[in-house]
Amino acid sequence: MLFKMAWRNVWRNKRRSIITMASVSFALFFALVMRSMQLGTYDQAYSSVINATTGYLQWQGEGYWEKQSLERSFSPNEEDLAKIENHPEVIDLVPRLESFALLASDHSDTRPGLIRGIEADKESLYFGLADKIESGHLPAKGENGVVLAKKLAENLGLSIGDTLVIIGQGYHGMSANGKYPVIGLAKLPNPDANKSTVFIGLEQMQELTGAFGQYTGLVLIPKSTDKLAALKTELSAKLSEGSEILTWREMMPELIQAMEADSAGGLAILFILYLVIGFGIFGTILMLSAERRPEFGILISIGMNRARLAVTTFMETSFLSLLGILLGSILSLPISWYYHLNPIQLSGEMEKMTEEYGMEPIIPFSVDPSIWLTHGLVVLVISMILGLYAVFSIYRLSPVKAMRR
Amino acid sequence: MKTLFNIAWRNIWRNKLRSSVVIISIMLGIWAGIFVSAFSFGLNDQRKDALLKNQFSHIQVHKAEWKDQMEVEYLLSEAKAILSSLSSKTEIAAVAPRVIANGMAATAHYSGGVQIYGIEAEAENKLTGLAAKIDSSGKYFSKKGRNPILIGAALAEKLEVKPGSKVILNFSNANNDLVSASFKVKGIYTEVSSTIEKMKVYVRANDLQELLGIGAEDYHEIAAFAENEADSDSLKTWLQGQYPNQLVESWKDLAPELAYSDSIMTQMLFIIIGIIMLALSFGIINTMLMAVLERRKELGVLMCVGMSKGRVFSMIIIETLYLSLIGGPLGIILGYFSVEQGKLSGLSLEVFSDGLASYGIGTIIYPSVPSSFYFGTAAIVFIMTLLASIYPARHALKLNPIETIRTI
Repeated sequence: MLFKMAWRNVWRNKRRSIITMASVSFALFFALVMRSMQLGTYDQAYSSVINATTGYLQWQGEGYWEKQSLERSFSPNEEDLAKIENHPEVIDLVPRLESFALLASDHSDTRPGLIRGIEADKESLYFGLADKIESGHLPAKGENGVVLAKKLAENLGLSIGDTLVIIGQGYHGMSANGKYPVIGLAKLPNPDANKSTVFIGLEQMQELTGAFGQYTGLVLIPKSTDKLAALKTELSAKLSEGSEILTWREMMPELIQAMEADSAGGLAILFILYLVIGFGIFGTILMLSAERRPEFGILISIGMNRARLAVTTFMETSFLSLLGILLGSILSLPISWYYHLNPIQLSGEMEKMTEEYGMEPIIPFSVDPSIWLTHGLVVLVISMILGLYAVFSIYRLSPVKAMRR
Repeated sequence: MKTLFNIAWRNIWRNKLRSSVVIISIMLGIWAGIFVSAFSFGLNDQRKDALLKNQFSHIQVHKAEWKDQMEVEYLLSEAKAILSSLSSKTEIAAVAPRVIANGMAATAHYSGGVQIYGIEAEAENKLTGLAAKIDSSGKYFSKKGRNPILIGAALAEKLEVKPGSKVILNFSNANNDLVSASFKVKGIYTEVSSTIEKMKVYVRANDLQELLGIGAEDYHEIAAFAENEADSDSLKTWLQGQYPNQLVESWKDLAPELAYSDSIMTQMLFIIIGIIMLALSFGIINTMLMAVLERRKELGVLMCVGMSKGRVFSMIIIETLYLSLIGGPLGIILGYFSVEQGKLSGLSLEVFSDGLASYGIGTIIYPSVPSSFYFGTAAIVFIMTLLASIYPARHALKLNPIETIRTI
């Protein structure tokens, strides 16, 4: 009964209800599309940067990440290795041995570069490295050869079949010098990486640096990326001294914070929007309770319980915003969904800007249901709090005075 | 007409609470909008200033080939002449030449790629204020000492060096031979951007020239800072005219994305103000529509006694404008004062410090707004309100005077 009354009350003043709903749905629509875009961008930025660099979880020698020096590389003991490998949440381990060195060809300057010793099969399987190869191929297991990032190859004046000279510092202060044939060229999306990366087989790298059996990191491939922190804690507890497990959040705090700062800016704008909409809803509730004073007075004096009246009015105002919320959510869904499937392609300066940060120049939208839930809920809570004004005014109402007007 | 304004003014105060809610919502909306915009402007300006001061300067001159490939041999052919014509120009505040080599810095603990900048101590300090960035444990370059080097704090941590330690630099010289030289850390510099700290090391130009096997007046780069940033483009044209064989670039060429974000900033923020105003106009329309509907009878009477439709229409529009002409300016004034206050005290963003540092700015943000932005905002408020007022005013026009006064 109360429910029905509230519902009918909503439609007593159609125009006003529709405008109020429209304002709620506009704000929510805007908020949802914006958040969906922002969060989608972060997701894609995270995953592209994570996949191109550290992976979600890495098992490293203690203190390696801070110094990133071969001296802190490690070689896991059998026991630990078995424990990690057999953990049901870990699909695989991808070993890496990385170090900086000087690169040269016979007819150019030397320039610094990052030598990444990898297992090509695994890198391709989990991080799509093979897709980035433009010509040639990645070094197969045991093959003696290097793949150069494209820009680096240009700068060094090297192409497939030429020889790359590596001059560097190995493990325990050994010198790490070697000559390798170039067997492939890779186009890396991050411009910095594209200017400096050399891929080499893991065993060749271990031989070059004298770090036999050592790794600078083992990337753990988790089954799901949702509960990394918990997985980290669980795995860390099993490890013996000397090595540690880091999540990408620990390895790249700058990335997170830059995104969080950006996200905070977006939330600030939404906050203003909600503030403004809140006032709009409040205005409606104010009008509604003012124009119905005589009616409320009559209802109370003929014996309607104040609580029931209050509940009816509260339901009425909640309906209003609920309808607005539903409308806004439904309207925003096709847009987010469309751009989720067909990300916006950036061009011109924007493209350069995103590439400078090492990301792909696209803006995909996120369709994570939690965005809809959170913002729908926020608006609902705001309107419910404002709805309390109507409840309050009903309890304060003096029927005689209200009817006399 | 004056009467109309009077009536409209009194009308909006007939329901004080309702009008106040609208006025306050406009005021708060505009205030918050301005403040957020000022914050974004401030952030962007600070980033730009920091990057120009530390990294790009206003103008840079290179040999044309340098842009594609930073080879030792691509030296500026008229370095001395360029230097003297730049320093004789009054619009130029500071100018400094640099020798640049790519190489590796190594200690027993770590080795990593670096860009080695050979600088003229005094000129460089004037250009980028390098001496002030050196922390208290070390010193800036002086004439004395052999092969001193300045290292960024982030790199120093990795190399595990402090002032007095030795660092080996490896790079190739003009004959493509590998040179390995030992440098003594003179000081550790800090920079807002940790990327720069990891990448750039500074040595004296003479030391580097000698090791590279190039002349004492050979440089790869000349960077200049104008007294006034707005002159960058005209100075660039002038200098390019003087030295057609060199590549002269302004910061807009060197960092196009910086110039771009600068230019779209204002548009973006006006869009945000527009969206806020759009949300506000729902409230305005609603309130004014109610005001018209509850005064149906009164408006009917007015029309019956001979008030023209045009006047009724204008009256409603004026009432609507009053609402936002009180709320809007109040919001703008509040915005102005809070921005001015923010300029003095700054807003601390300590929580995001690492992220901001990689973005190239410090943690204290000073909001700032070009004064044209206030006028733009005022214009948006006025236009949007005018648009919002049309619906309720039209509704008043459609009232049938006879019908409205017949009902109770």
